[in-house]
Amino acid sequence: MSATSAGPRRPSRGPSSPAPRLRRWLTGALLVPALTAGPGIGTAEGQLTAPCRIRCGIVLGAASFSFATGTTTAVGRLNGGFSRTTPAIALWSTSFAVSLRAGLALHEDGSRQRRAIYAAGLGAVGGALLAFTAESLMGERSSASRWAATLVGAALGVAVGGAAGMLSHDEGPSASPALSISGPLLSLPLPR
Amino acid sequence: MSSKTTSILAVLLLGACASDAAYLPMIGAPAPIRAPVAALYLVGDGGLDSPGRDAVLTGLRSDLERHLEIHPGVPALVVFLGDNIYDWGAREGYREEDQALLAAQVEALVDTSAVRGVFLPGNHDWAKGASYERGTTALELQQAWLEEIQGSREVGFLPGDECPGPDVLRIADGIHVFFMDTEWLLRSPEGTCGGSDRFYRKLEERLGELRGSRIVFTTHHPMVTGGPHGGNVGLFENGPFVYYLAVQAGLSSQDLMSGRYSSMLERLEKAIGDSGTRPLAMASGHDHSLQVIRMSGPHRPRYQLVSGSASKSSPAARIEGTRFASSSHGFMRLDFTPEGTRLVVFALRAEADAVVPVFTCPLSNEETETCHEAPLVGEER
Repeated sequence: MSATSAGPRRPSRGPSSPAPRLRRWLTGALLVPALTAGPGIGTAEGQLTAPCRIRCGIVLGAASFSFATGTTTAVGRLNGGFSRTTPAIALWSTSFAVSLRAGLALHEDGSRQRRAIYAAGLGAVGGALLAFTAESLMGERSSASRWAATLVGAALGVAVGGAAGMLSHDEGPSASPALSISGPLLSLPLPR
Repeated sequence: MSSKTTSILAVLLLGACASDAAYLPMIGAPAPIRAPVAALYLVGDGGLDSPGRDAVLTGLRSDLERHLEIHPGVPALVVFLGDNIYDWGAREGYREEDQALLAAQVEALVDTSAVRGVFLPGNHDWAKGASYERGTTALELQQAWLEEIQGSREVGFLPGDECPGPDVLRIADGIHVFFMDTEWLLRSPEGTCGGSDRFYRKLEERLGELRGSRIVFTTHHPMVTGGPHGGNVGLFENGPFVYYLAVQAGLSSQDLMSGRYSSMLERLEKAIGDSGTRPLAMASGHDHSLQVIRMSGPHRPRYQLVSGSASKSSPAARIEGTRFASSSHGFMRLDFTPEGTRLVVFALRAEADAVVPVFTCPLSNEETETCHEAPLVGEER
């Protein structure tokens, strides 16, 4: 007797494989910053200063991706691995959104924003290389620990590079960074 | 297009797909074994209603009938290696559909005292990463359903009491099957079943007591695998790129590379090494493929058999020690005689529209190699 005789076939009601859910979460993570762009600025692209809109956008996206992946990797590895997909996806999405917003928040000071974003990008590459080399020199390590070290190194590089780029002195309009967070119904300049 | 661009594209294309070993299937069926004392069937991850699953269960039933016809009275043990109900284990609210998934597997067993079935818990039976309480509720429900639907068949759920075991069954003189709940070991819930130390101590003791026996471990999680849980995933094949990175970095406790999984394997290896008894094989599911892998080192069973494609299918790469691998739906059978053990791998062949033998080899615990690698596609037979 097959399963059909035991009862009618119905589609499973529980969530299926992690991939479709992951795609939904990622779409959400990308939409949140775009939807929360302020009324005076319009789109996320509008929060990137000329002349580096597309290039800055790509670097900021890549740096945010590295930051989110590294953060999730650090938390996951410290706990011996995630036993469920949902907390991992939530952590990744939040870290991604935070990092992206941090880059966009500098839009009032164009040169500082560019410097911070490019420094974060360079930091990601440098951090990843440094961490991979250090992990490889630490004797017999598993491939997973090398991957994890590289990802965490990239995230640290983004944080350090971004902060260094943002805080370094320049000839720009302000000596200290001007940050502002914009939402659909709210535009709030942060104190300097 | 510059050669640099071509190289980058080539790397991306090669990495885009998971590696899948292509072995030539054997021609014909292996000759019936002489004077067997027992047969052990290994069927894993059969908890999804799929056309592949129906073919595998039909093939299992006909092979059981053939076995009983050729060797009347010779006991056959069928072990379902976990993930018996996808996706969230047994749920009271979905009794009809969840119970049907289990019933289909029970009904593949021939109703005779010579055939026994044992269901092992997998991570999905533990409610897929849900809390310990939800997991044990799902396990209890599955056990209750098995009792309800087994009829006159001999069916059990091992290890019992939502503890990791090891429960040991002697299927013939000097042949023992160990049942272990590796999902419990991965979770190691504090304050339950006397803790994981107790399990590893007990395992070492039981192995020590059975020195000289042919021992087969049955678990849901394998020790080695060339499948996705061992890191064999494509760059974009299984989801977004970040999923690929997560697998490589060992972020899921269900993957061999994660901290929890690695430490479970280390402790299992230590128990085997300290006992001085090397099991013949470890039979597992978890990855949805058929793999025969010879393992090295005295602290591991001699062979890893992955039989987890009863209802799902995923790629299996050729890794160190691989003797055969296939992403087809199927199951495995071990034939025990007083002198030796023979493995037969059955897989669904599209051209035959049936589950047929595709690989066979003798398994021995000796250092001398007895199970030779199947020819790869493109190689001379």
